[in-house]
Amino acid sequence: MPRISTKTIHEAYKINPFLPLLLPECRTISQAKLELKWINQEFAKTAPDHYTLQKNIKKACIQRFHHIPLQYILKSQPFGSLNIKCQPCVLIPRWETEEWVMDLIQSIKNGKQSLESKNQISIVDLCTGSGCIALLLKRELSKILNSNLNVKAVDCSDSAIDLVNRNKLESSEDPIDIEVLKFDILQSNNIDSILSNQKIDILTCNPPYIPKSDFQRDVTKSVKLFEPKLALIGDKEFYSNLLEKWIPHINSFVYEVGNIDQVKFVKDYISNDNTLNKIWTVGSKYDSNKQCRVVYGYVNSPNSSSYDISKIFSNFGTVIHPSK
Amino acid sequence: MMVFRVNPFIPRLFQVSRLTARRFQSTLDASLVQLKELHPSLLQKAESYCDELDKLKKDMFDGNAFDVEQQKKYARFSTIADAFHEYKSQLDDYKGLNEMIKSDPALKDEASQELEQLIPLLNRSSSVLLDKLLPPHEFADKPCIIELRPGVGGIEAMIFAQDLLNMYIGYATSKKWKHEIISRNENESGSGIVDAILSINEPGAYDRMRLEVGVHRVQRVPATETKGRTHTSTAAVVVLPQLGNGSEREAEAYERTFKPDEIRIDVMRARGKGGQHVNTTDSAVRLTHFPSGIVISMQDERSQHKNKAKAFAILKSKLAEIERLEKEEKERSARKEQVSTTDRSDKIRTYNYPQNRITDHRCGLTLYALNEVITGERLDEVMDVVKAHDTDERSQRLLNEQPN
Repeated sequence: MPRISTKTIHEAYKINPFLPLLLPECRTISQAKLELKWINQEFAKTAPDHYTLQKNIKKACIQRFHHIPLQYILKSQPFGSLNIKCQPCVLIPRWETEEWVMDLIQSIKNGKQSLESKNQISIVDLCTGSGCIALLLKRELSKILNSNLNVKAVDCSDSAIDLVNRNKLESSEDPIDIEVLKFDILQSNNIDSILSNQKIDILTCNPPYIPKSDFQRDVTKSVKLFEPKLALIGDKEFYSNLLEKWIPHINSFVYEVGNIDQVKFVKDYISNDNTLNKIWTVGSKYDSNKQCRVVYGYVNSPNSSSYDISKIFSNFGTVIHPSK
Repeated sequence: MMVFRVNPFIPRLFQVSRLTARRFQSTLDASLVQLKELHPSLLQKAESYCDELDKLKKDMFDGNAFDVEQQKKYARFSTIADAFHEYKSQLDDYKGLNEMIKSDPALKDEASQELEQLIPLLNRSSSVLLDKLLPPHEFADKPCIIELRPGVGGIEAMIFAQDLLNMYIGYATSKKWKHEIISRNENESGSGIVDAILSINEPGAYDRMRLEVGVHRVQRVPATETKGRTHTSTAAVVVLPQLGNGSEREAEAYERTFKPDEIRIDVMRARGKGGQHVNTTDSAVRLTHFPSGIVISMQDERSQHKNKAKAFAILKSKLAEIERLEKEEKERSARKEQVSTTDRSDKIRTYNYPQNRITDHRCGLTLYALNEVITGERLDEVMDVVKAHDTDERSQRLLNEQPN
């Protein structure tokens, strides 16, 4: 990354003495000004007087200079219509995730007739972290669907579970009713407690997907230093966990990915399996930054029943493996 | 015990000599000239509205159900009828007083005094009636969005655009109207703005602000000038109607009314692998509408989602305004008339700091109170005159349409 020129630092200083502190993370003066405005807005809500406010802003700018993520400083990140609380040791929701979740909600809205014939819809979000995916799906879908909506959020980290429980109450005006479970899906073989004798309609997951070999090279400083490695480093283990353990119990899945290899891995596994390739359709979805972001799959309904999960994925992404 | 008191001075007033009465003649003539009488065809129109109102009333008595359209008509006609009756009764008074002066010269003195009081009232009620008679503006009851951009004049123009923004904020504050800055891009050096969008969330604000559209000109010695020369710079003001309440849900619904190839939404970041690898705070959104060529960039909110909603709200307003202007243009060309109405390219007002003067070029108003106007306190005075001028012009057009 190019060095910030002295001229830029001087210019920033002339506008506001705190601005140069924000430059290493923001890179441009206009972005630094925006961040300073957001910091100002956020702290102005709670500061008792001008002196404390200035002191807090200065402290925040110095923290930012040390590459601490803005969301940990302001303790929140907007996610769709929610304002998700953030705290260290839990991954910060990304705009890419927000994008595909919003698209998924839109797709479900368009194909809702095919879902509503079932009176109990079950959604499970694995590796939920802050709980952003589960909470947003529950909040938006309960406005759309007439069926009973059961959303479960699963994570193996204690701090994540704490944060999801906080976000249930604080991320929007009314509390959002989801079930939170502490569960290590890689270690434990017994997933019955999550299933509760019912097929899962949609399984979502934003697993750690940065291969250890790429971590030093590809990850930016702020993420590398301050976000939990537990939520970042991983390669194919969650995808093979999906294919080996979960696939008999689900009707569709939506997994976030970091690179095209992970999509290929899922696609190849299904197309090489003689039973799975007949009933499963696999697709991928790109984000607006033209990066491969999501792999998804769904079962084709065996008979002409009114429940048809494939309807909700008709415009979601591009199919790479049609069922045979 | 009640005492009935009679003013002993009253009879004396009737004993004005002929000589004094004649001296009042000239003043009376002067005030007669000031009277703005309405065109007979307009009065005819008002009378026809009253007739229709009577018909509607009859319908109501007969017990026929009213639908929304009729209710609206009824409300409009009854306000017209009220204004018309007031105007008529005052006009009758006026005629009666004139008669009195002619028939009984002894009463001239007192009658002329009364006339002097009556004429301003009559003028006011005639302008109220005129305003009511004109067809209401399409977006008259809507809140508005004001967009400001500097014109010629470099940094000085940016500072002036900032001054105008402050003026409208001050005006909205003095009216106790809810307002917020939707987006604001400052100049790199920190003085003045590159562009700004102010939304005033008051129903009817559009009708009040719509005549502010155009190029505003400033003449002053800029803060950046070292040799003390006066510069002339400009800033452009665009006023758009605000449609809907600007919520995210509504923006989503609106987004779906476009075909996918009509709009493009860009997020402005294209470096690296994204996802968990980076944690960007950049939430800027750029919305392009291909059929009209409108491009809207929005970056003020931390949430990309909210930025998108705001961009769509502005696109909606812009498209509605374009549609309205096209319609107006079509009507105008159908009438084949050349009316000097407000055009976006016209300079409409000059703010001259050395003379503390503000001049509106449309109605020719000059006010030596720039300091009070630029804070928004006395902007109302300027707007009132512009509005009256606009009403006059529109009524003129109405008369041309229906020659009697």
